[in-house]
Amino acid sequence: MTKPQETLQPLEKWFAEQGWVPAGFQRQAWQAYLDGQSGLIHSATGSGKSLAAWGGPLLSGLTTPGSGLRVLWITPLRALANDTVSSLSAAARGLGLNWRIEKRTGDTPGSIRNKQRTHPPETLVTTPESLSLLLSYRHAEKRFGHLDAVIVDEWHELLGSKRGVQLELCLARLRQLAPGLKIWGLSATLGNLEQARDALLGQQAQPGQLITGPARKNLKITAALPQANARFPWAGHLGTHLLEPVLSYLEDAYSSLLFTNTRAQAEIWFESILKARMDWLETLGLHHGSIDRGLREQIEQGLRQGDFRCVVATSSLDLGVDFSPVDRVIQIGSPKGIARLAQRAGRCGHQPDGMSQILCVPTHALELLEIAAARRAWQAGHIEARPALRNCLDVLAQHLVSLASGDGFDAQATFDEVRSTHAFAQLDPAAWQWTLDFITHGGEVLSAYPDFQRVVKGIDGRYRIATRTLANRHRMSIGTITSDAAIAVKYQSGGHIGTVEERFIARLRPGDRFLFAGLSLELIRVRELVAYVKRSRASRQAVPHWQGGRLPLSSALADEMLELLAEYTAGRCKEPEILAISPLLELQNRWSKLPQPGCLLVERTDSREGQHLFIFPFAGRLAHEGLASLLAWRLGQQSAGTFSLAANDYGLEILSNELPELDETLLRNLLSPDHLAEDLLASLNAGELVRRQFRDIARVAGLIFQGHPGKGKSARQLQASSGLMFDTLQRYDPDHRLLDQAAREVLESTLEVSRIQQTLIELSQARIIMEKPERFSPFAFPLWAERQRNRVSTESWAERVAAMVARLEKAADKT
Amino acid sequence: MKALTLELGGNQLTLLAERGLWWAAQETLILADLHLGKTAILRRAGIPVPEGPDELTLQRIDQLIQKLNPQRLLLLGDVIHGSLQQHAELIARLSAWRATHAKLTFEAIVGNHDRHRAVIESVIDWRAPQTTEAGLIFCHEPPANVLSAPWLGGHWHPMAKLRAGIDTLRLPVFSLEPTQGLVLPAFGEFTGGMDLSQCKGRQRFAVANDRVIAID
Repeated sequence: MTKPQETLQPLEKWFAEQGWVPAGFQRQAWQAYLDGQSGLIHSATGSGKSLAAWGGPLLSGLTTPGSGLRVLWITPLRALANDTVSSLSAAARGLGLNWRIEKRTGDTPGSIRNKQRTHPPETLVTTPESLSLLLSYRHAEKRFGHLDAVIVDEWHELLGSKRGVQLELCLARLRQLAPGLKIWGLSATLGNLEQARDALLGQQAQPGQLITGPARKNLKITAALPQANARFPWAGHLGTHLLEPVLSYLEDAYSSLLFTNTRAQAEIWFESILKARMDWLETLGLHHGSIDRGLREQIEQGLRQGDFRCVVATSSLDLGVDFSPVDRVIQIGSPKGIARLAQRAGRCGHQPDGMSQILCVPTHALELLEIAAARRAWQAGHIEARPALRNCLDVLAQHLVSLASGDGFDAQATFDEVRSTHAFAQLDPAAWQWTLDFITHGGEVLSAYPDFQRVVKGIDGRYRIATRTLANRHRMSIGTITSDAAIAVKYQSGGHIGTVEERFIARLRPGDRFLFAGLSLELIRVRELVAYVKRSRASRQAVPHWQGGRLPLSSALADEMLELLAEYTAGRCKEPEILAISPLLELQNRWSKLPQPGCLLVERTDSREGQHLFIFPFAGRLAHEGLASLLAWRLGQQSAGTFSLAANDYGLEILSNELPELDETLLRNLLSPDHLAEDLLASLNAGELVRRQFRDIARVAGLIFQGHPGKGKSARQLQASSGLMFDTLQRYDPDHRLLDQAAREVLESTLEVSRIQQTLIELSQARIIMEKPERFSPFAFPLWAERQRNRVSTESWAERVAAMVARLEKAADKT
Repeated sequence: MKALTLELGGNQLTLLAERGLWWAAQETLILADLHLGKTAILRRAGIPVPEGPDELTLQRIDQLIQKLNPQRLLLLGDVIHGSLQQHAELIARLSAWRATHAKLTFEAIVGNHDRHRAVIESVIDWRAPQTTEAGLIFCHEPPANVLSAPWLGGHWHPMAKLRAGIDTLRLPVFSLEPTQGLVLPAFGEFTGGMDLSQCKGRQRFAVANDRVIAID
């Protein structure tokens, strides 16, 4: 047993030289590391988490010299790698430790990668994908056998996603390659920290530590309020009507970050600000995931140096180091979750009073309610949980092919290794066998996959990749983040601008104009996954609509909202945001009723479109989508029909040409929690959700091979759409487990079935308030206005086609 | 089955709901883009797609032959998806299938995927990329400009997204192009498709279950 004072001494000394004092949690983490423990450190941004995790490996580096790779530092964003390398290096130098600390990400040049292989640095900063890739090469034991520690930065970002599962599998491999390996994670505060720790550490001899940093920073959440008596839009998603107050807020600041929820919103805000303040051109930046990485890095650098008055960003800037010159943070639209809001607010530098400030700009009236609710929830310390994923066979299949591409693997040992992760702790032998069959035979042994080759079992019993070509192709597809095929956007004259989803470009024709990366561009042509463009001077353009990025309202926020409405009804509510929209709330009360805790508001309105049913359970958009499809299906059991569905965070809409009369008994039957999963899945057979979900799974599991942006057509012959693949598997291999997984993922993640279940149970106790407003009420209107059409039909495909044919022929007769 | 007949270059052509074209005067059945062997090629490349679609494609041709009793089968290119060198079983299956239709003439226009056609030389008589017959030009890739006569082609696997009321569907289409030609939908089972939007001078005919309907 070492004496703590002695071993921590070099760090204490360095801290003192900097004029710092180590915080209690930092000392605790250093000591735990020296004691050989693993664990998770959580605290607010900017509290010294990184040094808490980095201190241990440095101290042991001082006492036990050795060569080879000692520490792996995993970061979720490659954009963070540079900053991490420099801050880790500064601390190492400070302690007089002569370590090479290098990064390795997707853009590290081949020459450096080669050098890293022959002369490994002591510390490698990398991403989960690059780690997977490293494990797909041979001699992993030589490469990782001397590893002391893996440190996972921003673990909360990975947890709950397939990237997290991918990392869990890689960590399980590393635990085998390097016995005694210590694993440490850094996380923001979450509602489920113990699960976060267990998922990171997997099964190990001793329980891991959970080390708590200083309490959260003070956070002031305010809303941009409309002028008194100003009409506030009932629905919308841009929020640019509040441009003027935002501009004056920006003018008062030295440097600001303006966060939006979608890339399209970012483009529009960037353009609107620029139009209003042409002289800001040099000091206004735009940062989102589709913009060329080099450009993004320049912007990040500029932010650090204080070169920007304002940078408009999406979640692409949620993570990472603080930008100390930034003194104001603005959030356009609701943050949808408390954790996310706190994280964004934490991007700005520390004011002397230790206060972070964030100005929320509502895009429509009801978002003011969300902002007030977020402030309440924050004060009460209600932070969302991020549940870890389990049994993702697509990720497992990819991981096994990676191992097969490297040193190969032994089935029994690897089964045990995989089961040592949190994600696959309950993996049953049948599912394991199926996954093995999937990568070796294409599917179950008895089904028809002649000539399939990917992984083969050698005479020594080890599983290895069949050919080098296959190994190379697999390496190109490693990763779990999927998107629509990415199209590179380039100038005709050369110069890469960024990437955009194929779906958007497919809608454009040569000559069409669109707004991208803050530029007005004209499409010239699309060739081989590259869209060639030139600058355009036109003033009207389309804005690309990117998929994803729309989080549902968290339960914690939704509950606060209902609570606020109850207080308002009781005349007790003093929140300025609520008072600002009181005319709207009054109108809702006059035409219908205000939603309340313990009550379910149901509205029925007729329009030229048909008969609308609006229901407001306040369970978040995803759960409402599922509920809408469930209710439509159950309604359809009584009388066949086609329904158009819409959902938002507050409620759902069902529209049909004719809806049956609904009394309370009938409604309660529709909302019954009994047979939920079966009914939901049955309703989805008619829907497209499972098919859509299968896209990502097919990509991760290697069922479809996508080309790469800007890279030739060598792989063109191998392309098949995931939809075609889905239909083919359903027909010829209906028991395919990845089809099951798609259905399960739709239930768990896309529809949040557990939240639906919870909601239905609560609703069965709730009082039902039935209203028949003549017009759409203020709560119904946003649903009508932002309807995302999602067809769920209980008619068979043939009936639908017949109905469509009849309509088409009728229309044809008229012309 | 409700079919629809078009006149092109003085020829009556029937658009079949089975995604083929019937040229009654010449007793010829015209099909485009079978892409045979695609699933086998994908499997060989490590992509696990089950066997089955090819067999269904052949069965559907058999059914059409039985129904229409043609003298000739004319394929508008992309009969095979790629090299079948390593798929001897498939070649044998195709030869055997060909033998069951001994009296039928099999002809095909060379498509971009038919580079490796040598292996099925005995099954099909290959014809030049643009072959003229009875005032019609048969090709695989639709030409960019008007040709000396109306043309028939494939290659695009045309589909259309239809919306009626609150329902949307994606269906294969025949497309009569402004460049005086008709593009056939892909006949093969494992082919997918490309959305063809409405445009001036284009007329699309959707294949919906058992009928063909004009949608423009």
